[in-house]
Amino acid sequence: MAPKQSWNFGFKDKKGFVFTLDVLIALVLVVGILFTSSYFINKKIQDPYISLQLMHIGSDFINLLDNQGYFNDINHDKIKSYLDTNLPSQYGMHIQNSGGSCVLDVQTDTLPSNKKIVSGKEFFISNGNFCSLKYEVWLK
Amino acid sequence: MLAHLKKGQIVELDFFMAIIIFGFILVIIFLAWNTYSEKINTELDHNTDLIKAYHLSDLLSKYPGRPSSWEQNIALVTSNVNAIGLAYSDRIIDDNKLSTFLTLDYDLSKDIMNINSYEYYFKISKMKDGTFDSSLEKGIKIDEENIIAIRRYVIYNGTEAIMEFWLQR
Repeated sequence: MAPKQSWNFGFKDKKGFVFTLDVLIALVLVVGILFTSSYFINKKIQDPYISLQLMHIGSDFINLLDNQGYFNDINHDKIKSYLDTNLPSQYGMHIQNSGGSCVLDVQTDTLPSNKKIVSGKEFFISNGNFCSLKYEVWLK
Repeated sequence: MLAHLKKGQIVELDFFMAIIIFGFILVIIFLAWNTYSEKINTELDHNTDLIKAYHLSDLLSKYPGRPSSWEQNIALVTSNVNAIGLAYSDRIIDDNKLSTFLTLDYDLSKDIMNINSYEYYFKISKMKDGTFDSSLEKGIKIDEENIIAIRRYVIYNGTEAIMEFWLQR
């Protein structure tokens, strides 16, 4: 009488193959969970410094423009010239009105398609009108 | 009898295989746990410092401090000052507040800003040519990799300026 085998990777003898299959499924699940968690942990712990710095640069420059009176009487060329002169060369910026009666659309460079863009919203008064704008900042 | 013995050996082999696989997975989990625990703790510390540095740079560049006229009281009773702010209004630096801050004792300023376990460096420079008439800096500049350096854009003396704030544990 041949011995009853539970060792059965080839499944030649179908008896006991469920145990091997069970082990394989369990292994796939465990390794899958390990890799997924590793991926998300690595993704989660990326340095937030760049995003924070971009956000603050955008907010600071909108405030500078406001404090220097560039929003009192909006002139696109003057705003663009100010940003071209003062914005650090490694950054690009796009400002666009997002509410109120003001018309504003200034862009220092072409919006990149493959880089992180940080955006924010600021409020200001132009010629007695309440307006809001959306800014987008990116690293060139 | 022999067949019975062989059957037992196969079950044993199966058992050892299971133990080896289980041990292998356990070692991987243990190594991953250790690596990520350390990584996460380091990142957590870094992010805490980063947020602290940004909060402090916000406090210095956007707010007048508490009390708002702290620069007049600091020489009399230092315990009355709850927060140091350098702004006359949002991101416009007040000259008197800045002068008082620059002459303030370094450890006292750390105590008021609640960063006793840190070192900091502060500087205001012109945006265009980089300098003002006098040297507007304070603190200890430690040139190391794990320092957090924040740059804020403000107005000082009617002109655009860069306010630098470095923080290190």
